[in-house]
Amino acid sequence: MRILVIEDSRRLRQALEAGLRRTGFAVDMAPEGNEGYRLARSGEYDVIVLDLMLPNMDGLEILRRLRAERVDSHVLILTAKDRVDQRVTGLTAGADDYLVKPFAFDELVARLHALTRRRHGIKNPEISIGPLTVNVAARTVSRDGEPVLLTAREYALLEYLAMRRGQVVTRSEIEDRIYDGRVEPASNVVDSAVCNLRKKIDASKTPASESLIQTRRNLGYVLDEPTA
Amino acid sequence: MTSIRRRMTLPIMLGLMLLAIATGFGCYGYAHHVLEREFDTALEAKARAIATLVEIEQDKKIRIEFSEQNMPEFTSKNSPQYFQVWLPDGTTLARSTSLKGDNIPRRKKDDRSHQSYNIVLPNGKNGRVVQLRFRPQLEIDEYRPTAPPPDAPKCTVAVARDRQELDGTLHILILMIFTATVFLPLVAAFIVYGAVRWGLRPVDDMAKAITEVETPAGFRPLPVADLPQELKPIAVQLNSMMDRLKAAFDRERQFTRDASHELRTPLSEVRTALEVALKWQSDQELMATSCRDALSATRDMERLVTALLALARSETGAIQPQTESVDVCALIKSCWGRLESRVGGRRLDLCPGQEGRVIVTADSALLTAVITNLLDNAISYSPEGSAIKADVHQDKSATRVEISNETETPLSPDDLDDIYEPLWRKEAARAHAEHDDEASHAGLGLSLVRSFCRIMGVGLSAELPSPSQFKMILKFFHRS
Repeated sequence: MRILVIEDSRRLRQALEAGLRRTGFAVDMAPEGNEGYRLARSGEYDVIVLDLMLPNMDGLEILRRLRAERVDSHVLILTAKDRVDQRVTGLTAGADDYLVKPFAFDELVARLHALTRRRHGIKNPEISIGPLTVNVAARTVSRDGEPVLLTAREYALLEYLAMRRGQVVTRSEIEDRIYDGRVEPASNVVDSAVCNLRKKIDASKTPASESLIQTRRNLGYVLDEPTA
Repeated sequence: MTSIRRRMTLPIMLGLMLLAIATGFGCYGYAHHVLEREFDTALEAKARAIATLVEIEQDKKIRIEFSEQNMPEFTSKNSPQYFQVWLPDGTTLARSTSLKGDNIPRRKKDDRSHQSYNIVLPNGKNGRVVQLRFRPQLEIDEYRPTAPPPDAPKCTVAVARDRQELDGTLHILILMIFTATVFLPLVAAFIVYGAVRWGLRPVDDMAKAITEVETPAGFRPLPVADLPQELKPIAVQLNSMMDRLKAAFDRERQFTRDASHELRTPLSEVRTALEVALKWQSDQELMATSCRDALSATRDMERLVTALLALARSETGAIQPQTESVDVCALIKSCWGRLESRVGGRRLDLCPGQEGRVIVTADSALLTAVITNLLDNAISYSPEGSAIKADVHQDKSATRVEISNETETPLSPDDLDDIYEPLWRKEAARAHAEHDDEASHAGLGLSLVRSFCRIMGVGLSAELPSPSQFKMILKFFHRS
């Protein structure tokens, strides 16, 4: 999932970037309001983590402008302002969630996942594709009841495909969502990742045509039960 | 407990009572004197009339031509009057029949021509006498009495009557005065009590309004326009004082909120850095970076807490200045040297055109903190590569030290009222350090500068030579 963090504290930015990337999010950072707004209005982010006290343009102004421009990325306000009236102001301005500093990193991650599920309209945390079950809340994968161990990036890729089950997901979408868009042109990192993922989620010796992740030539990939 | 109401009511009542008593006695005394004088005047007239009836003949014999028919008052059965005439030798020439042979007591030794005095009359009643000494008229012609010669012997005539009617009148008068003396103060007390109570009602209302106040926020300004003149200054001062108290409470609450707010971000930095590091403990580089960031954030919190404590100490009078002579240009240079790591291409123009030392009298440690904070502020808020100027000017009354810099964020004249407020920053987001060697700014520097200058008795002011220029001025007054 692709996250934009707009936060002027360098140390906090660094810690969030390190933690969120290792959790499997594709993360972009902005240290001040103008740059944050410029990045956010692209609409490419699943969730925007937004500090309120920013240089050049404060967080509430960014939020109001994004909503006025119908940017539908979810926004989680991350701020030291903790009064009820301040929370109400933030949520009324269009934020989807509000987290007060200092916060638990795990809680931030859980809220980001919740917002991501919401963005894809997924209420039931368990997504079943044939024998495969992906629990997006617990971030676990099992096949026929047996757990499947994936790396963070592999899980992020599988989760993204599962949330868009039955839809063709292009390589560039995968690059943006999973790899922060930092993929060299003509690189086959996505193909390689899909190949590794197939090996883990398909039964052994499953031919490519019967894989749960199907290739659509020149288009992308689809996660679904293979048609008979 | 002293009560204004009692302080007013008792003296007024006592005063009125004494006044009533004194007035009563005065009135009685005057009335007594007037009535008695009128009584005496009437008796004197009667005595003179009788005196005119006494004549001295050519043979030096003295006789009286008195007819009771002409003066029936001396024969009346009810309250008759009495008279008696004595010859110069003291023998009685004539007396009224009403005396029945008794004598009117006569004052012999007193040579005054006119006397009046009280006696007991022959009928046992109280009476009053007027006694006159006179020279009988000389009878030359029966029909033309002549004034007596100056060497004529003096006779004495006394006329008396009972004073029952007079005494009755005086008794009635004293009764009336006594009654008035008793009741008037009681009525006056009632009126005074009511008047004082009515007069003090604005004070009672004010006391009630003040008693109901539990917090400065709950205080409603007293309406000054309707108050009596004497209470207006009190109400105006009270309103002003409560406004200041309310503002101080608000500032303290805001300060507490701001201070806790300032601590939240570095706490978040520490917490997130350590949580992430512990989650991926095998990543040595991540661990090292997280620990460095956590330590840096901890140092920021330490600086903030130290500054807060210094501010609290300075404002509670816990710091006693130790004055000494300080070379201010050398001190500025020294402070600049300690900030070398943060200078970032900026330069210091120190005391241009100033030759020799410039000595001021101040607490060296406090002045060092002041200069360091001013230079630190100048470095933080001026563009890279710009010049920070430190100037010294001297005149007869004071030595001025001016530290000025360009500003990246323009300030307005209104901001100059706020710059000394704790935790205030023009741009709230400029708190965070972008580099490890930068100290983040919690907005306490100028609050400390102001507090320390107050302790040292150094004048402090700020100016905006232009929207992008900021100048702080320290004024060291020369003590004579």
